[in-house]
Amino acid sequence: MNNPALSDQIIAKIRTTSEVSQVLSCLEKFVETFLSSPSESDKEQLFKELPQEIAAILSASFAHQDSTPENYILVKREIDELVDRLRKCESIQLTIAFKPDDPTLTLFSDWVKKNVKADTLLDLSYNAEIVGGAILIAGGVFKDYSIRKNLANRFQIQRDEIVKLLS
Amino acid sequence: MKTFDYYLTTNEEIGFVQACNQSIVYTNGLPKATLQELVVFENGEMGVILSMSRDQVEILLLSKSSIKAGMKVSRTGVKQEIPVGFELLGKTINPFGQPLSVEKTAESPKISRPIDISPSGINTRKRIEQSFETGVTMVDMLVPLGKGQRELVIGDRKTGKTSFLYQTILKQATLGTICIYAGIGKKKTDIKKIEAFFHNTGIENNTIIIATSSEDPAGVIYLTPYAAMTLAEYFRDEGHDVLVVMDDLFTHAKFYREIMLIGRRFPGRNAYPADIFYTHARLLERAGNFVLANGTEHAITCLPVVESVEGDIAGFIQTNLMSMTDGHIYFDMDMFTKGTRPAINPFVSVSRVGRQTQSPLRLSLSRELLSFLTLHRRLESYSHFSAEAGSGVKRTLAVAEKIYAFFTQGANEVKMLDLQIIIFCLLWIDHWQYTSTMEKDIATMNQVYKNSMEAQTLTKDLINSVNSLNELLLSIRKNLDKILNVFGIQEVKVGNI
Repeated sequence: MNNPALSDQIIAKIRTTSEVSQVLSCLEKFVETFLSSPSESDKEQLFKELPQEIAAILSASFAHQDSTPENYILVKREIDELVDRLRKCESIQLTIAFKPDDPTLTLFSDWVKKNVKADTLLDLSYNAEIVGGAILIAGGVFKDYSIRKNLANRFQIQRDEIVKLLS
Repeated sequence: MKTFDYYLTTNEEIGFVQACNQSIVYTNGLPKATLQELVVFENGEMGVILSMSRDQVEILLLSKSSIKAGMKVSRTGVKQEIPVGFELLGKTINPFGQPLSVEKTAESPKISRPIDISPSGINTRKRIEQSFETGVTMVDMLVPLGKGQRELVIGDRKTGKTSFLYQTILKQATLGTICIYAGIGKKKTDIKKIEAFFHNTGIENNTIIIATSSEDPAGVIYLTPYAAMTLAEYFRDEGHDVLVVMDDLFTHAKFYREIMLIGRRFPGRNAYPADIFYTHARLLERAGNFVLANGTEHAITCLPVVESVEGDIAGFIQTNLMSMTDGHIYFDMDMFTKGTRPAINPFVSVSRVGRQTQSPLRLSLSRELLSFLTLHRRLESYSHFSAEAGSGVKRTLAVAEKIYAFFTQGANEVKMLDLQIIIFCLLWIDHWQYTSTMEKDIATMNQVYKNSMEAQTLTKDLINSVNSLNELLLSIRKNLDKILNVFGIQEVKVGNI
């Protein structure tokens, strides 16, 4: 039952830290109710809240397992490993000026996974005040690529020029 | 200080508070942080980096307002600094150079210096050769100090330590030394008293009070003596002799212990952290006699104070400080309750470098005096048998009584050493039959000396013309009439000791 490919599959499909929280809470519920939910459909129901692709992978891996104590031990061990791996994922905080639709979010996530690290997640937040562009925080490094910052810099240069002319 | 946003966009580094325990905060991020660097939280509060691990930074808070988990923190790129300059003279400031008195917010200095630095090396130091006057006769005669010496002032509460410090500051400020008083976790009323004393005695312009009250955050209290030493180094580099009084390092050690215990450092003896010795030694090592780049010699004399409990001078911090200073002056509670002022115990007090600064005359005087006091101490037990005691014992006891009366000095009263030497010689040749007459005459002589140029010249001439106590005694016998005449005191039959 030990399946290292499972965590890779899940991590490849998870895009944001909020999705990680959702997955973790579903897995917790699944483990709690494993012995008390006899049918496969009951078990699948638990994963319904998750994004479709992730739900499909988890259902395929765990939902068909019979609710026996022996299976419980094996499932729990595998889920614990998955949870551990998910908790260790690094994240990049990204502040943008708009709420992205699903394809855009996937585009962002794919770019990050390809260019940074396969298990890097996005911690998205929205702030209309930055006008456009993005603010990035990763590993304690802060980068402000927002339009607000650009405009502030330009205004500052102009202010300095005016002060120079006046003085 | 600039805002959090300014530092964030300038340094482009951020951390998030993970845990907070009283004055210690743990954050992640800040990849290029360095030790002792100042950091700023998003609410504007400051902190200083205490230690770092691979994924965590330990920060000591410099404020008392609450920091919450998840708060953002940014590096400032600067170490803790204090503004230094002559503008600070006469002011009462905190360890960041901000004035504590509202009415004294005049211009602030433009230059800043780091608070905690490594002490200067041996190549910048020179042997202590100039004597340092405290204005307290007992100290100047029996436990003499030198410029650049670190002398521990130790004693129980209410034994006159502060009065001694006041007298020393008063004397030194009058001589042109810049005096820095570091009040560590003091009561606000005590700081006001010191301010008032400096103001009333007119030495404000040669003094700086750098103070923290017990209400301040532990991190700020901890920085107080380091900031004082930084100020002292500035004035030394500007070509001034400096006196730093640290009142007191026992409180400093207690606050450092508090910080380190919260920071989960392993507690050692008396729960102090293992590096408590280093903490104080690296501070006191910054004092000394220095040769500047231009070849001039300037000293930072340091008087750290430590409180003893129930006369126990063998405590952990007390003995640590004794071993890292060049001697100690011990204020004895028993002597204080017996009425001796100052209550300095000359037998327990030590000066390791002060004697090398003394002239041959002062050395021989000090030796003679100390051996006499030792003799008196041994004979003191015979004072119970007043009638049966021999004439030699009686005579010794009578002279000792006069000597202790001669040493008696009121709080805030500063004595001129040259005059004290002359007075002592008069006492030594048995000029005064009664202690009461002696006390009256001493008061007159002090008064005359202050106002009469002739008295000052005569005193100097007498002292400068001789090399030992015996020579001076002879000279005084010869010129006795003149001395009595100049000082306007009555002639009394001179005996012999």
